[in-house]
Amino acid sequence: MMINISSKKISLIQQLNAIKENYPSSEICLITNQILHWEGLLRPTPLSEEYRVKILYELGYTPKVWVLNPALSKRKGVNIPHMYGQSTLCLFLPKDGSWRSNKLIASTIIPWASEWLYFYEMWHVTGKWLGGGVHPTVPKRDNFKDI
Amino acid sequence: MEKFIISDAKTGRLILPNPTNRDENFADKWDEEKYPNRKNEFFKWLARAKEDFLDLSSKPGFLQISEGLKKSLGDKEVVAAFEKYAKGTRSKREGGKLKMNLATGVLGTTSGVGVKAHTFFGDDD
Repeated sequence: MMINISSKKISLIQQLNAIKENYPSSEICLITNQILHWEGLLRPTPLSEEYRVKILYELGYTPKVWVLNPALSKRKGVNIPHMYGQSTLCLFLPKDGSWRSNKLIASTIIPWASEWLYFYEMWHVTGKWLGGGVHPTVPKRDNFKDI
Repeated sequence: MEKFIISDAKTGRLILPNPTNRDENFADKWDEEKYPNRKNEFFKWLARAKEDFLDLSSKPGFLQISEGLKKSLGDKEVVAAFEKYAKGTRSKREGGKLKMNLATGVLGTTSGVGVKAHTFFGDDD
């Protein structure tokens, strides 16, 4: 069962424990050099591909999320929407409160990654990103200072 | 599919009733004297569609599945169906009903962790 934690920052150990508790089939879940490293398999629907996803999280910064394999691909030469530099996934609007360091990666980032993969597959089929979101003109980086 | 096609006992003409309106006959344009190819073309399409559909089960990923469906059903119809499906999923998330199975990552509405409200962000550069 997903645990609830108050408005205080959640430590890396608490993040690690919540992931281990909820995702026992994680491929990698450890902390090295004060960075949480998770890798696991996500298949957004039974008909989808199974994707190996990697998350790195350093306290004080936003989590970074990669899809390791199968490799993500452009659609007819068009870049993939909602990514940072076609490298990491853009899962939330920075500083809108949907992600903060008092939230659990287990109950936010990982489900959002699966949902991102679902809409990525739908984008490939339809040519439209149907999951909503914004593409503002902001500094293009993926390591926003956390709140 | 063939089991839905019946033969009129009196005239011998084929009838393919609309399942939602039994009075409508999808095969009413198969007049073999006027249009000798229509019936044959339909059965050729049906055979090819069956092969395509069977082939889908061996292809993981919606892109491969949709490409297979597009061959038999046409781009426009398949894209429209997938759009409807995706919009329904988004609507479930926005309504707080979408969940993710913790063991597999599969999205649904029955069990798992709720997919919390959020806004996809970033760029496409």
